[in-house]
Amino acid sequence: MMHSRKKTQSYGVNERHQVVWLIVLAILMFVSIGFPLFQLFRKAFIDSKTLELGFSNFITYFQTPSLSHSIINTLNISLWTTAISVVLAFIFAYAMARTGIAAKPLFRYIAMLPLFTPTMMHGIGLTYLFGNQGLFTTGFFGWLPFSFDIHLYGSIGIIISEVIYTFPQAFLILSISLAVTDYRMYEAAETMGVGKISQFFHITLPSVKFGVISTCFVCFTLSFTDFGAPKVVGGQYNVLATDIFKQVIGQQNMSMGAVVGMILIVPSICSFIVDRIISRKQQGTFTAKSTVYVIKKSRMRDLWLTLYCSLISGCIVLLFAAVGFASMVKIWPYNLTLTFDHYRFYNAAGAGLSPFFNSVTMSFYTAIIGTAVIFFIAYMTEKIRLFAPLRQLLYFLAMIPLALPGIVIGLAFIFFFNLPNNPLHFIYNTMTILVLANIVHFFSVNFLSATTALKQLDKEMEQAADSMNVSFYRTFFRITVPMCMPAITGMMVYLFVNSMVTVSALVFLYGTDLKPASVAIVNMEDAGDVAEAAAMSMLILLLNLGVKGGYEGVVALINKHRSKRSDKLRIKANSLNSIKDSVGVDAHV
Amino acid sequence: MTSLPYLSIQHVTKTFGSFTALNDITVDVSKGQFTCLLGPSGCGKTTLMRIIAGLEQPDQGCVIVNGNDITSLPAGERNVGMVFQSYALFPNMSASQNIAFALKGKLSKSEITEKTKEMLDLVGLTHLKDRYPVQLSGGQQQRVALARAIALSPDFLLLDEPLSALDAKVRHKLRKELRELQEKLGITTIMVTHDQEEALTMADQIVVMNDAEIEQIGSPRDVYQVPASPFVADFIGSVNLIPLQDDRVMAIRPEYIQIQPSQVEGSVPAIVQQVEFRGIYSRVYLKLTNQAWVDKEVSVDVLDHDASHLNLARQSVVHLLMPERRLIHFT
Repeated sequence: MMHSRKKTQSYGVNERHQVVWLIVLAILMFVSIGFPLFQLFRKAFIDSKTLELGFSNFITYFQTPSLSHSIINTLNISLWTTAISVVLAFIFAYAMARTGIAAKPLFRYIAMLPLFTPTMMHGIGLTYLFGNQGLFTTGFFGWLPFSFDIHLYGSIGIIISEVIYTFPQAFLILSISLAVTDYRMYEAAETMGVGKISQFFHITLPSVKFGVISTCFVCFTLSFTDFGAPKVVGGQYNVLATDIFKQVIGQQNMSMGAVVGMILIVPSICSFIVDRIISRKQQGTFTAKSTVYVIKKSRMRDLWLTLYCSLISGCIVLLFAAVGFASMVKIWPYNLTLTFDHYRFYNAAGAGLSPFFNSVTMSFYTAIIGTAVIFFIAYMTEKIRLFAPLRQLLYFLAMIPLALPGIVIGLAFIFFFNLPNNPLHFIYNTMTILVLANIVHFFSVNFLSATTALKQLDKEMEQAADSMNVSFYRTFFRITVPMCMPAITGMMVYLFVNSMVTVSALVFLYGTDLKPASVAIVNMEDAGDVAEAAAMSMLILLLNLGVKGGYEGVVALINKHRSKRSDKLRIKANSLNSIKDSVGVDAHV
Repeated sequence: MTSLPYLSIQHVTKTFGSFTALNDITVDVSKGQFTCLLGPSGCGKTTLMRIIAGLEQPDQGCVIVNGNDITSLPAGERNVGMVFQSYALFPNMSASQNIAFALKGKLSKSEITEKTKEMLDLVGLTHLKDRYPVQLSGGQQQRVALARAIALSPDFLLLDEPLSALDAKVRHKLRKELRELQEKLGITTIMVTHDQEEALTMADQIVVMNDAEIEQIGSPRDVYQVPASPFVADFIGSVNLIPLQDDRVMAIRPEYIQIQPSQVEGSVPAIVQQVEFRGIYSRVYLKLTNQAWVDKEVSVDVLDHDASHLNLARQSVVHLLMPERRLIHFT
């Protein structure tokens, strides 16, 4: 029959450009994610001597007690960290979401502080408080008649550092879980005469169940793969992340490094799978009809929780103050005269401030290029009508980095880009590879927030433009990008801040003349120049706070300006921001 | 005189996985005609419109405009104007910017200004040209979307449930306006709707669809008075479906049944169950009591004026007359 054959739509100009872009993007992502990962697997599964495919490297690993013992150590750290951090953060988040305590914004900002610093800073702070010369260990430098030593170096130090590191992330996820609820359930319970405690166990806890589960996984994964804190306060206590460093940089044993890298991926993959299952189950628990939680007055509850939040915030502030103070005194604890000498970085192998500026440059490029690339890829996977298989491939590649800790990305990058016959070998030791590693490292989280923002736009807008024969570039730049500005700028800030603090991927990749600030902190701390390391940490913290604060200020100004035009737009922008903040928590490994 | 159809959809089939959205659909539309695709949700009417727009590709069959097969033409090159269900106005652009957006690069600057002005004038929104979509009411947004769609002088206009998001009052007003505008411009228009009243009041031709297939194509009067299937009879207006012997079904609309106080020739007895007051008329629910249709429920519309002369108290017995010429027989 004449009409029985399927006619394929011929491509217009838009479609031709789109398919070329999709192919280019897929190649880019294969080169920067797929191929390096493939090299990592090859290194792990091919015997370094016999060159045979198999598990021989893994067997060697598990037969070397000094190495495999690190797994037990790391599990120990992660389990304790998860348990402590989730409980502390849950109470804190509960206080913020469900009680009437005062000064909530202040508490919230303080709880967020650790997000803006490299994890080494938490370790350094702990050294000043509880280390050999620490404030508490020496009984306030001998002013007090007593003193106490918590034996910081080792598992205790690492666990405390990781709790500080994971606390804000746990707090953010739990805050969102606690914010989303249907108050009618509580009203129904009230009318049935159910007591407050019973309400907590039968309504509140079940409603945040999924949030708690995913918080546990995030905390576990973050502390499982962290490199900075164990480096500073780990002492002789070996964990997987520091093992990789020793194997690869110290002993040049690439195969063992790759094996440890494989082990490091395991929790993230579990976390990824659980998250997928959860997000499927969670759909529909919150409907448009849900009513907002109303906080009832209760003085006792507020009093206790104010105390609790003050204690937690006090600890965080004390830690940061210790680093700040130590970075500004001559010789802690012997000569406490104030000085800015450490900020000149005399001792830091003549590098001076250049690592700081290297980091700023790197973070700037990461923020600009990363946001552009990630947003465009999200747009191409989300808003194009045709080429579904190609778009699914892109989506799949875009989600892979979610399971990759920074240190594994660093490792995969050396294996791939350091191959002598790789035409891209030239980017090794340059700024390009640092920026690329950061973009890959923070890819999925930002990809997801871009996708969320894009999904909120009416999908018929693209079709309307398409049917009016408007070039998709114009639609993209005139409509999609302006509409997603809140998400886009949020991504930029996220990428900048996290590039400033990350160390794990970079520690393998930097060239000697392009050392980033976070790596400089590790090196200075290693060399005993702890005050300089503290000073560098403070610089990073201050810059990040400046960037984030400046951004929030500009957003507030724009919103104020826009509120004249329309309230709806502003609300939309805010909700995008909060989604961004909520998603943007589980990456900086 | 038979003229070639302006738009012709021939044997179009579309499946999504195992779901068949359209099964061998053939429809012709004449130039300047207003056609409604009418059917319940999921019947495939929107998919058919999207295939005409080029936003979906049929598995089989073709779309022919003015004798040219446009099946493989991309959406942008089809010269269609489309109004989306959500209107899809660009929220970051004012009403006039929305209209001008698609004109850029196709017309000169002064022509764009001129055209935008003309369009705003046409839909009566000149005084609101600088407002952003969120500052416009639903009806105003709808008119901006319409102005934007016709600004490029498209060969035909596609409307995807354009009135469904509006309040009843605004909807009724816009029905009339939309139809007047369409007649003024003489533009061939296809509208998707699930609202049978909308289709009856606006269309020259109604295409009734159900379950991926066409049930009937005809004028509003045809589909109402001579429905081709029990589905059409039931979907458009109200109908009493009365089963006869050997699987045949007889249908009659409630307003065509006459209620008699006493038995007359050809009447059937019934007991009043309930009366609903609906303003100008009342709907009476009755149970038939004759042997063939015992306990069969029927409804009858009686003008309020007439109802006052009848005893329609619950359980009272009346006699129903079903005029032969109003009966529709289905096999």
